[in-house]
Amino acid sequence: MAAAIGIGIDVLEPTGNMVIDIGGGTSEIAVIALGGIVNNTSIRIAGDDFNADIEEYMRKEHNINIGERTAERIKIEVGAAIDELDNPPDEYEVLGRDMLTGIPKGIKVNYTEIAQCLDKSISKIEAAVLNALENTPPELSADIYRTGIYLVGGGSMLRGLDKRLHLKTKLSVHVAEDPLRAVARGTGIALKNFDKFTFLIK
Amino acid sequence: MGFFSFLSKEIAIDLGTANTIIIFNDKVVVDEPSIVALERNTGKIIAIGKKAQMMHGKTHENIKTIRPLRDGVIADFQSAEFMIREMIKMIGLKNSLFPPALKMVICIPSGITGVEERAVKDSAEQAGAKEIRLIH
Ligand SMILES: Nc1ncnc2c1ncn2[C@@H]1O[C@H](COP(=O)(O)OP(=O)(O)OP(=O)(O)O)[C@@H](O)[C@H]1O
Ligand SMILES: [Mg+2]
Repeated sequence: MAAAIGIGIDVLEPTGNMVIDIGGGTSEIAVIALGGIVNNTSIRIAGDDFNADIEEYMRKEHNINIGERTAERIKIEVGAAIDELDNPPDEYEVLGRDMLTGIPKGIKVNYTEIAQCLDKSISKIEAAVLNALENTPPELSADIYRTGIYLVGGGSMLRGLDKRLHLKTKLSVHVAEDPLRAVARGTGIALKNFDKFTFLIK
Repeated sequence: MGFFSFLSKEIAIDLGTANTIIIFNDKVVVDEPSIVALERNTGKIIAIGKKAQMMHGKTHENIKTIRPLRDGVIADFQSAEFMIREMIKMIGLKNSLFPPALKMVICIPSGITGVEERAVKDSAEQAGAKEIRLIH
């Protein structure tokens, strides 16, 4: 709800909107209309899991131990959700500890391998999106067909994620402006409507 | 705004697993990673947010870093409370002149249970909130 408000959707309208928030810990898919959440799917697969996937991949494929922060760095520098990007990022040098020698080591990774290593987790998000669409009442489906899907949260900045969801659903997919702050913005607007927004929870 | 703006004690919080953002007077006043660093034997908080983040993965036996939220919910109640309180302090409200009587809206994940919801409210109350609303 906060995410929807934050990207400027009039949530009180009788129009359905689908908003997906891919954060650090959870990915939440909500259909909102008439000031309420019509349906909501929440899965515990998000940015933290992408980091964990990358840590594991580096260990298994490159025999190099890295920490959570380095994994996140890799995700931001060369992370991708599809293996064919229009504007591919440069290779990125990962620094960590060689598992065999124990000596610090640097190796280069590119976005295609990261796309492969994130594929499983992203497939789960995809499945949840399809599931949410399936569970959406038809009148609201029709609205979503017209408006498309909105993406917010830091995870929505993963390269090619919007395209991948578009290919899967054939719907238009919009990444919010400043996706990391959309929810906060919406919460700020809710604060100004403390008494008016009856959907706020006491 | 203007003269009375500093009397306004309404804040909005997006309490996230990765980042916590606080809005006060329509502006983002806090945007920090949701993490705390503490002294292992005394439990004393050494740093929160970016400072604590820098220590993450680089600690020795007397320091540990904790991310109080996992999977969108409070996993470590005490450190969550500390973190929320410290972040509210970062806004720089003059607590001595105006004892905290904060009005807060806090964003929580929709998959949250009643117990977890209570935990968020308790943390906010401990941090000085008097009137609280939650939003998904
Ligand atoms: N450019 C980027 N590409 C991919 N992921 C990114 C990028 N920038 C940030 N992230 C990821 O976004 C996540 C944080 O997003 P956000 O701040 O929306 O989460 P949160 O609100 O704290 O978590 P939650 O909503 O699950 O409680 C982190 O996992 C971070 O690594
Ligand atoms: Mg969030």
